[in-house]
Amino acid sequence: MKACPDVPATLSAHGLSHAYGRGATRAPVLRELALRFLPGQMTLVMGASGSGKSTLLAALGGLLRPDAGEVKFGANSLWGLAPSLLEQLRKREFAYVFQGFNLFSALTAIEQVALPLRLDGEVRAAARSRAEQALAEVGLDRHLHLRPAELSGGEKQRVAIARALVKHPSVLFADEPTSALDSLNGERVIRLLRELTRRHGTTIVAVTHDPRLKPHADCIVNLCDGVAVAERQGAAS
Amino acid sequence: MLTDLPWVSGSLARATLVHDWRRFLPAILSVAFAGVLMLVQLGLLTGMFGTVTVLVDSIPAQLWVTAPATRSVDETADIPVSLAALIRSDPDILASDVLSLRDASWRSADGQRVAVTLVALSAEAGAPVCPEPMRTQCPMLASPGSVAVDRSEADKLGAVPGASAEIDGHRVRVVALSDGMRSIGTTYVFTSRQTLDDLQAGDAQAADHTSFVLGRIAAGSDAGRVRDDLRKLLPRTTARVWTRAQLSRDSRHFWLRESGVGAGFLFSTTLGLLIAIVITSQCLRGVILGQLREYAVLRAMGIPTRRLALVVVEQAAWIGAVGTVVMWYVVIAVAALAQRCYVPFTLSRGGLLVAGGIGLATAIGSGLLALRGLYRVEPAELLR
Ligand SMILES: Nc1ncnc2c1ncn2[C@@H]1O[C@H](COP(=O)(O)OP(=O)(O)OP(=O)(O)O)[C@@H](O)[C@H]1O
Ligand SMILES: [Mg+2]
Repeated sequence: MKACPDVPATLSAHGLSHAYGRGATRAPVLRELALRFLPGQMTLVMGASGSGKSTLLAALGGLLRPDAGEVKFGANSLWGLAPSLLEQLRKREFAYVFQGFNLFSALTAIEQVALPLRLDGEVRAAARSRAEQALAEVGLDRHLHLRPAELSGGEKQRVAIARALVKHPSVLFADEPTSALDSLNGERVIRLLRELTRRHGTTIVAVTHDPRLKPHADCIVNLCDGVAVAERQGAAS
Repeated sequence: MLTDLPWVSGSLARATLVHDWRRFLPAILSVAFAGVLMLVQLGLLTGMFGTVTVLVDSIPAQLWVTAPATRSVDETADIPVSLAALIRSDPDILASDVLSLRDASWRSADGQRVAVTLVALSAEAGAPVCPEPMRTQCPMLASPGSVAVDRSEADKLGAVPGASAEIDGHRVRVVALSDGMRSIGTTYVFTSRQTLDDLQAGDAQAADHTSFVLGRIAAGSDAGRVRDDLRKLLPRTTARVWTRAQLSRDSRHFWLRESGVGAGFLFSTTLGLLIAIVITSQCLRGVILGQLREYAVLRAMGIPTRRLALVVVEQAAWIGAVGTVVMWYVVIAVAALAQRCYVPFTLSRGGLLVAGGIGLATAIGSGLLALRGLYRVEPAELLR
């Protein structure tokens, strides 16, 4: 199963298996998955509800240790790393956008984006100027000082994207980034993601069940019963 | 608006505190309340027990001779007046004097009876026994039958300057009112040694005895050393020699111990602090649980849990700091009110600082207790 072009992958998985529960109720969610994600490409992971999309994303993104299998990022085997090294790797190379926007209600847009930089020890002025730049890239340069309660859903998701991209990650993991948005806003958010990641060469792994996003994808992975049933090149160029 | 100030924006801890101040209010108030409870009790207790030693603290003599069994200044027993002459034989003693306390019954002009303690002073402003706050009143006591009482007791005694009253059936006249000479243990009526002798004219032995013999030493002399010298001079079975500071301290400790209020104070202070810890940690926990998903994103981004714990501890410290400031304002207001109502209340800078430190420590301890909530931040669980 190799529909995507054969160049060195940013991220790849082999024999990825995971199951939840114990004993008789133990149900496999991922079965020996093998996947490759190429630099600068957006891969959509699709499938029915409960098919294991979020589980896959967590295993790929270094957030959930799979029962078996390997996830490789460059030369590193993610789940072979010590927890602190994995944490470092996540901090430097990965970023995440989730369905709920998960913004702190007390912080303004610029503070939300600067926060991870500040917590990582960056000085205030530098963090704020990088945050301002990232917010400008998602078109929110006029909303720097608004709090989540004063932003629309689409704007909130754009703040979350700015927060994810401010550190120029190698891989962006997005779990249902558009499902809380109406179709127009969803479309805009996905186009924005596409555009920004093209510019920075970021690899995107996005989980969605929204078929309207298909045209934007480079690759599509369909999950069914824990295996990737179809993997084909998307229509986007 | 406060939230727009530059110093507020940088820190998640402060921004959350300012934005959600209503959620933090119970924690801030509980820290403030615990401190107020502690300081007001302490202020009243030390204020109250401070008045027990008002004579010791305001009379300038540095050395006090009491009966041998005396444990506190209000436990008096007779000693010979002649000891005054004896201690003067020590070259360090510049002057000596006697101070007599006698229980008596006061009857005001309108017939009201009050049990009082007569305090017989030398009727000279510079005498070693004239209390500092009474320098102008002491000479007024010289004419026979003159007494002075404290302004805060004047109502109770029906005493205004010029009014007359009866002590143990003898007529006396109120010639002056003093300030700051109130004692919680009894009601003092100040008079001269001469008037006291007149009042107890029938008692032949009384004139040869007194409650205290006081000695004054030169300004630079070491009171402790002179005390030790006097102890060698006076037989231990006749009298006991104290420095002023020692008698004052021992008297107050005696009252704290004997009355049991020391234990009561510790108990209620501990209770107040425990309540503050429970409320503050629950409040912080609630706030953490409300932000679990936001914290989970930061965890996913590789921010270590201990860095997030620092945010919570900072939040706790701010609660403690704000609570402490609130507490200071309340306690200072209480102190001002107490002073206006002549309620003895002592407030020291050190007490305020210690209470502030305890408030801060309480809040930070609560923050540490609340940290448990943070370890439930599992990005894979919360963000699917
Ligand atoms: N912590 C867990 N314990 C037990 N079972 C779990 C747990 N997490 C997920 N599952 C199960 O694993 C399966 C896959 O879950 P997952 O969240 O990956 O699905 P999904 O494809 O993301 O679904 P959706 O589109 O609804 O988000 C589901 O059947 C779910 O019930
Ligand atoms: Mg999901």
